[in-house]
Amino acid sequence: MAPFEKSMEMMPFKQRKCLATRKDEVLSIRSKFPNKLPVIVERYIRERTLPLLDKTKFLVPFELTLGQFLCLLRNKIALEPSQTLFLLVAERSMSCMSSSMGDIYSRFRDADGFLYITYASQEVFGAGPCS
Amino acid sequence: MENKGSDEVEKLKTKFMSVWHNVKYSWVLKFKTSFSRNSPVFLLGKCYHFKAEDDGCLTEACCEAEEDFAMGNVDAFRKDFASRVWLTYREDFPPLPGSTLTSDCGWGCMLRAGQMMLAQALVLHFLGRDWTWPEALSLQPLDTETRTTSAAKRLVASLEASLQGSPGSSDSEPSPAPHAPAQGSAEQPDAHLNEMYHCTLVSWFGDMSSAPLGLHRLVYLGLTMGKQAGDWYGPAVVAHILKKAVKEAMDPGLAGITAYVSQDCTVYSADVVDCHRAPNETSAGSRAVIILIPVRLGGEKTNPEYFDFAKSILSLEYCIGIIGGKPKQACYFVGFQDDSLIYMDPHYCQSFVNVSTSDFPLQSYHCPSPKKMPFSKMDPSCTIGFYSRSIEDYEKIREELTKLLQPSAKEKYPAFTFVQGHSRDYDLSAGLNPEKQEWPFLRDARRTVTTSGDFVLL
Repeated sequence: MAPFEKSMEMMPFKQRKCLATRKDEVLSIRSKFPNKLPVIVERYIRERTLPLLDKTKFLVPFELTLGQFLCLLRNKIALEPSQTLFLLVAERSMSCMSSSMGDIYSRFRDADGFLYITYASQEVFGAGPCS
Repeated sequence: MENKGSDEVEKLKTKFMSVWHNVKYSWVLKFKTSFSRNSPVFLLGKCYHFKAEDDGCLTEACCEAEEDFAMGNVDAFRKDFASRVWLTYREDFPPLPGSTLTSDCGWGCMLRAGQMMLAQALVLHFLGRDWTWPEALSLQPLDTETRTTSAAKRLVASLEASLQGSPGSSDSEPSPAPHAPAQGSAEQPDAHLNEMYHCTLVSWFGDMSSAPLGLHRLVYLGLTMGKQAGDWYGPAVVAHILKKAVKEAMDPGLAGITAYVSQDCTVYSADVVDCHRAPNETSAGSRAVIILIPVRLGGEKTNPEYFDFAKSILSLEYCIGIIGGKPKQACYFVGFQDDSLIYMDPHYCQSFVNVSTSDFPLQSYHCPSPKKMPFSKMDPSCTIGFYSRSIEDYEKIREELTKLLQPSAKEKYPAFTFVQGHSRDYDLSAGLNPEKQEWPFLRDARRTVTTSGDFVLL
């Protein structure tokens, strides 16, 4: 199991900055990059297998597909093909690899203007202490 | 001498664990009171009603909803449930590959759940969904107290034996009651043949390294995936292990079946069709395919928006169930009634059974008592399974599941999807060169283009 990295990164973005700050950030970044969507990608809070990404904030093209985005993350995290990586948005599993980030953004963006994506693998199960 | 001593300690520890488990996860035997008589019960695609015969007509609601389902009753449900193959923790089996462990008590539950799902696929393959075990209704109820007491007695006996320095206590179970032959089997050659399939199928899951789908084999295959005996397993890695086990099984009986695991919640239809086509066969030959789909139905909990979907899946006869659990405890979901899931629980430690003997007892591979738990307790990490007999079968399955996955135009975020073509057609990482600039932060964090506010620009 990967050791927990104790850093500010551990606190969810929404808890680190208040709504007003986040809204300002979106306005500012969208004025500089009007063709890009601001996306926050965070590890599931109880995830114990996948490592933390060193970057959480992304500016993605509208037409980037979920499949392409997932590919980027998989390469960044360096997973075996049999290891799972799920992308969750608003407690739903994103499974349509052909959907565009634009579609997902317009459906699920937060009130602050960011799209929040959580990545997770799967839980493991056992009913007693290991070995 | 010292080694022997610590082996004994390990054995005692394992025994203690199994006793602890049977106390901790004690079985509730009051089956009849835990099922409502007013709502239908679904079990792997079959529907049952528990109204007594003299309750008069079925209510209108029941009639319109269930016209297409076979009507069953309590006994039929019990027989169906008890005919499913049950795999649990075991103890006193030969050591696992790469380990000295002789029991999977406390860690093997997801592997056992996976074995149960695979067993159901094989039952569909060799026996069909309608098959029931003639002896299903004569199973003894699980008696926790006797089990725990006898296990405790054995524990004390081995402790005494080791303190006296005698070489390993005899801790074999009293021989189980031999199972009576099926009624009238001489007049029913089909029943006899089915029993042969049933026994052979169960023996494939035996706890010895020669069993093609046994725990030893699964643990061995898991070694290449970074798992080992004693680890906790998740439903996705178990899906990959099961697929390897089926594919690599040498038994001729398993030659007609293979397995497919979805990628990133996507089932690539051309890949499944390829699986159906046996490698060296002409158009005459084809294999059945077990389709395994690891999913994650939410963050911390299963999103209630997926409950109806789970119910619709468990109402299909070609569904071989869902392996998942409640937090930390794996189980094999096979049905539901109202808002409760019906499941089979591997958390029950039983003794090793030597399946290589010709007439090994089958009783410990069947469970008389279903268990229930609310959908709301379902852990979101799970693997859904389906059995597809042929390419024609697959086309129907794909069509039906596609409708269930996206019942309305607004439901654009289903648990998984079907895509035409092969996964290689969509493989975005194939041929990617690390030096190419297409993916800015591929393999090299320093390539990240940072802007104000620390965003990665894609």
